[in-house]
Amino acid sequence: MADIDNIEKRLIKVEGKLEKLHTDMVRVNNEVHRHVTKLEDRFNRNLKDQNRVNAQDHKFITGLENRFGKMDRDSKKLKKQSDPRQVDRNTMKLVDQALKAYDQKKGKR
Amino acid sequence: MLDPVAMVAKGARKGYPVEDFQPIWNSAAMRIARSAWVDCGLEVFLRKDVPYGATSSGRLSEDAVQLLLETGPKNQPCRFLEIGSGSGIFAKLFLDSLKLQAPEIYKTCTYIVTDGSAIMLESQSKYGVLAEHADQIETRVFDAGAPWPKDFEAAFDGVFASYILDSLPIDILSVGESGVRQMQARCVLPVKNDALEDALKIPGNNHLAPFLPIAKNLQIQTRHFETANLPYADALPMKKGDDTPMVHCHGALACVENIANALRSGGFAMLSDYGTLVPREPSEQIEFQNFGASAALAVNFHQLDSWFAEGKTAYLKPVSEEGHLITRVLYNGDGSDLFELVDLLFGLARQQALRLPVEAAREMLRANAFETARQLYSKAMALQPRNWSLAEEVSELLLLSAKDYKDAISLAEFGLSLNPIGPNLYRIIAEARYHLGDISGAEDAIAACLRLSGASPQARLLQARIQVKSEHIEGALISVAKGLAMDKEADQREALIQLQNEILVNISQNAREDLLAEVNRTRNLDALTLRL
Ligand SMILES: C[S@@+](CC[C@H](N)C(=O)[O-])C[C@H]1O[C@@H](n2cnc3c(N)ncnc32)[C@H](O)[C@@H]1O
Repeated sequence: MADIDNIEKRLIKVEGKLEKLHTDMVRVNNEVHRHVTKLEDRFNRNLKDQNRVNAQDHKFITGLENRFGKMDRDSKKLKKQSDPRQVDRNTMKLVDQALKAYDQKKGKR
Repeated sequence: MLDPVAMVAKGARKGYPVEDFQPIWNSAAMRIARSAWVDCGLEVFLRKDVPYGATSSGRLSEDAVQLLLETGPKNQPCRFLEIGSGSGIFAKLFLDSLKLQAPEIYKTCTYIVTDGSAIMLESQSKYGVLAEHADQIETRVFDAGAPWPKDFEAAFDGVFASYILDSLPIDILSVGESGVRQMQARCVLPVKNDALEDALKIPGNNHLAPFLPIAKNLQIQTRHFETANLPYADALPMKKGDDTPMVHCHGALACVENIANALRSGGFAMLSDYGTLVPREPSEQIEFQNFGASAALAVNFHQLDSWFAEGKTAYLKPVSEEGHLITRVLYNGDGSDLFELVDLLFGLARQQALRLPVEAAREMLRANAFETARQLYSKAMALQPRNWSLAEEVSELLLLSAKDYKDAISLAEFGLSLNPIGPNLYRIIAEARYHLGDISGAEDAIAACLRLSGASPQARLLQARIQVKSEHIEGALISVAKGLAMDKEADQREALIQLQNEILVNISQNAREDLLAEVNRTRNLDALTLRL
C-alpha cells in the first residue's frame, strides 16, 4: 500500500509538473506568437512607411515631369516664334549701344 | 425708384468704421504703417522687404564721394549728415570709399547717422555695420519730418537722403477746373474692433504697432473735400482741365528746404528716391508702395523740381532720365560747376548703361542661356565693380547655373567685405561649400546666414541638407519644419517636402536594417560543428 501511496504521490507530482510544463508551453507559445506578430507589424509598418513616402515622391516627380514637359512644349512654341540667337544678338547690340553712349558721355567731360 | 448707380456704389460702404474721415496721411492705415518703423530693426533690410540694394549698393555712396571731391577743397573738418539711414550700409560704403580716395578728409570728418527709429540705430550697432568707422560716426535719433534743430543750420558739407522723402507727410489731392479737393479716408473693418478705435483716439503712432497684423484687413473708404488750409499751397498747380489726382509732397518740400539750409558754403546734398517725373493722368489711381509693413508713396519729383528750380540753393537735375531711381543734387555754390557731373552720374545714359546689361542678363538666365548671361554680367560688373548687390546676383549665377563653386565663394566673400550683413552672400557661400564637400565650412556659413535672417525658407532648406550630410537627422527635420512654417508664399515648399521625404525614407530604411539585425542576432553553429 505504501508503495501505491508513494506511486500515487509521484504521479500527482508528475502530473503537476506536466501541467506546469503545459501552461509554460502555452505561455511561451503565446509569447512567441505575440512577439512574431509584433515583429510582423513593425515590418509591415516600416514597409508601408516607405511605400507611402515613395508613392508621394512618385507623385511629386510625376508632377515635376509634367511641368517640365509643359515648359518644354511652351519653349518649343516660343522657339518657333523667334530665333533665340537673333534675340541674343539684338539684346547684346542694345546693351553695347547703351554702354557706348555712356562711355562717350563720360569721355566728353 | 431703383437707382442702379447708388446700388453699385453702396457696396463700397460696408464694414465697421474705426475712425472718422481724416486726411489720408492721418488715416488708420497710414498711421499703423508708420508705426512699423518704430519697432523694427535691420531685419526689414536683411529680408529685403526694403529694396536697399538699389540705394545702398555702393554706387550712390561712391557717387557722393565723387561729388564731394569735385566741389572743391575743404579747409575744415568735413561734416556729413544722413537722414533715414536705415541699414547704415550707405554710410559704411561712403566712408569706405572716402577713406580710399581722400584719406586726409576721411581722418578728420564726422558722419552723423540718423534715423527716426531708435531701434534701427541700435540694430545697426548690434550688427556692427559701422564698426570699422567708429571714430568718424555719431548717431542720433532724428525725425526728418519735424522742425530741424539749430545745430543743423549751415553745418554740413554733405547731406544724404535715400528712400526717405517718400516716407514724409503727403496729401492726395484732386485738382481740376472745380478747384483743389483733398482726399479724406476712413478705414473700416469687416468686424467691429473697439481696441483699435480707442487706440486711434490717442495721438501719436508708436502705440499702434500691435495692430500691424490686422492692418491688411483695413479697407479704405475715400472721399474728396474742398479745403482751405493746405501746407505749401503755393506749390500746387493751376486749377484747370479734368479733375486729376496728385500727390502733394509737402513733407518732402519742407524737408528739402531744411536740407538746403543745413548746407555749409560749398556743401551739397544728394537725394535719391523712386518717384514720378510727370503729372498724373486724370484716370490714374494713386498706389502705395509697401515695404514690409510700412507704406510709402512715389515722390512727386515734378512738384519738387518746379518748387526748387528758382531757390537760392542750386537744385540740379539731369537733362534726361528714366524713373526707376531718381536723384537730385542741392549745391550751396555755383550750380554750373557741378551740373555736368550731375548729368553724367544721374542722367539717362548712365541709368541705361547700368540697368540694361543686368536686365538682359536676367532674361538670358530665364532662357537658360548661361554663357550669354555671364557675358552680360561681366559688362555690368565692369561698370560697378564694388556693388555688393550685383556681386550677390552674379555669385548666385556662378553657383546655380555655372556650378563654379570656388568662384562663387570668392565673389560672395568679396560682396561680404562690402556689405558685411548680407545673409544671401553667406547662403551662397554655404551652398557652394556644401557642393565642394566642405561640410563644416558650410555649417559655419549657414549659421552666419541664419543669424542674419533666420526667417528665410531657402536658408532653412540648405541648413537641412547640410544637417543630413553631417547626420543631424533630428535637426534636419526641425529645419525643414521651420522652413515650411516660414514659407508663406510656398516658394520652397516642394523642395522642403521632397527633402523631408528623403529623410523619412532614410529613417525607415535604417530602421529596417536594425530590425533585421535584432531578429537575426543569434547564429547557431551546432549543425556545422556536429558535422566536423
Ligand atoms: C525705406 S527706409 C530707407 C533706408 C535707407 N536710406 C535705404 O535707402 O535703404 C526708410 C528709413 O527711414 C526711417 N524713417 C521713416 N520715417 C522717418 C522720419 N520721419 N524721420 C526719419 N527717419 C524716418 C525708417 O526708420 C527707415 O529706416
